[in-house]
Amino acid sequence: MSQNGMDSTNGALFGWLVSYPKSGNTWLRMMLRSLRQGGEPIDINEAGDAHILSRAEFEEHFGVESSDLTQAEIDAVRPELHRAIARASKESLILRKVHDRCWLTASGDPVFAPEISRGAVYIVRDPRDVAVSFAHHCHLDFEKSVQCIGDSTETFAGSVKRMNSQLVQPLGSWSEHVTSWLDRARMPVLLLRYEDMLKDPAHELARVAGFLGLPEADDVEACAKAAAAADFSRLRQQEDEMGFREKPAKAIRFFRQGRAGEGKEVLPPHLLQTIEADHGAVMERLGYRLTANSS
Amino acid sequence: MTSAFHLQDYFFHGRRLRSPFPLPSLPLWPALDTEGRPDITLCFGETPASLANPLWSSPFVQIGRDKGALVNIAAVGRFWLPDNGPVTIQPSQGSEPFEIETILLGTVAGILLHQRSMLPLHASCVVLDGSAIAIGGSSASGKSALAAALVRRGALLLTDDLCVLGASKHSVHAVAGTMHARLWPDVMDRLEIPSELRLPTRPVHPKHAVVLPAAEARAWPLQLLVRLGSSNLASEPVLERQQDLASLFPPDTLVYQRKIGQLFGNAATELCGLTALARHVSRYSLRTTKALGHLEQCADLILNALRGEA
Repeated sequence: MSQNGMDSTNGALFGWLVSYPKSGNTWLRMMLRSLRQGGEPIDINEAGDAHILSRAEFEEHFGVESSDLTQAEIDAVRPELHRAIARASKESLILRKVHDRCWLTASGDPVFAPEISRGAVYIVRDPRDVAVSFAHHCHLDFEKSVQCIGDSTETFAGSVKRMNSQLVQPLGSWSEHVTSWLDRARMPVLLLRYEDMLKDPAHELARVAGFLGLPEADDVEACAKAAAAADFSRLRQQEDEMGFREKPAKAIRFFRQGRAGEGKEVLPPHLLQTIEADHGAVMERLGYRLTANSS
Repeated sequence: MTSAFHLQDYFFHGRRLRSPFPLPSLPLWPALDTEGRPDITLCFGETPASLANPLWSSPFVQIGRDKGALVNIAAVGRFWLPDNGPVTIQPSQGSEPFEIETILLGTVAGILLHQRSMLPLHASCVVLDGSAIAIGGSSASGKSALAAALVRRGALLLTDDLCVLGASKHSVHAVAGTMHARLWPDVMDRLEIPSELRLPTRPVHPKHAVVLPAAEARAWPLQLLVRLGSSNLASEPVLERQQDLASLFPPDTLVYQRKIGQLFGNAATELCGLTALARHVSRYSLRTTKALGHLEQCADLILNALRGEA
């Protein structure tokens, strides 16, 4: 794993913005969108870049009806899909939101191939807060949400009941997700803590911009303006006024609280214990203090 | 697969297709017309494993410089579509007839229609009171679900997912395609589709082909084009009539696999078809929520719009 800025002249194309769901990925995307527009205000519903991979994109690049294929057939060609997108792009850098864990196909090909990757920004958030936010996002109770983030087989957009516009994204458990990217990504990875984004968003944004090799990286004023333009309260206000197209149908809202420490306040003790039992080692590695089992 | 079946002619998006195996999703070619020759013939046989130096290639589809096309779904089989001559199918060992039909009437059909210089919209279509209503949108936008909901309100299915247009000087017609709508379990349950009407599309695949009451297999005057935009910007579905040409943009989500049409040099066909749509067909955008609970409400909005146009 590298925490350093990467060589922007290596010819690679993708900058992956990676996180377990409900960890600040959309917030970072909004900040980057504003930064690339010089710190100007943003419309949260504008079709911007850094979107997640869709079925429509799969079909456009492969000329095939995705819903006629089995999951295994789709999974097998995910690396080739990324290569096809890279070949078709006229940009030097393609930003993409990613919720997948870093995974290999059944034949051993890395889905996020190093040769087409500039690197990955990995956003991590205290899993106790993730569990609360994930529950609201997916309309689950806390018990089920904690179970999901501890489940190795968990996927995103993986329902077999309904068709999703996104492709199925294997998540694994929260711990597996973190370690897959930090330890096995075969590319430079910048680790970003959600809690640090809350404390100093402009500084963290500048780190991301530097890592991705964006020309605005050294523009302190633009980073500050972009952080302000995508301030959580503004995103929330826009969602109140106009809605947010990425909100799941069952969720009441997408931009909800945007703060740290909620999990320790609202989760019952036995669920805090479960989270720490499941993820304690990785939490401590990332500086998230364990509390449930010591009280 | 072929032993007990005689050649049968089917109505394939307005073309006469002769098949050596049953294609229950397609209407039969009118029995009165026993003399004519088929426009498209299917046969079983050996296909190329791949095309040398193709014009365009993906893991599943290759388009040749001579306008031949090869579709390869390893678990199902290969489908060879020469520029002229029969469509040759080489099934993979153990593949089921229904999955050959699934690929044939989906991906392969789209390519075949472009190859034959037809204009397929990415749309499902129903007929009500003699008028066709096309519902267009990208994958997972809910075209088939809405078509099935309209059928539940008395419409007849004309085609699912692929809708060929025919244009004359004063009107646009939608042409019959498949009689089955391909639906996911949540929609089938919502519409209370009995299990005996749910036919498999692939082994162990949640999507099923559902038998629905179908319109007569011919071309019907197209009255409405409704383009679906799935989002959660509104808490309720909103149907809006569109007056300007922007209603046909982006064409990439309106024309089925538009890039493949362009590879076959069909820009003029597309331009003629879209121009005719703009001149003769009422166009609406339907912004839906992702909530399935709004399905019936969406169907009612469309039916009200149709009555308003009458």
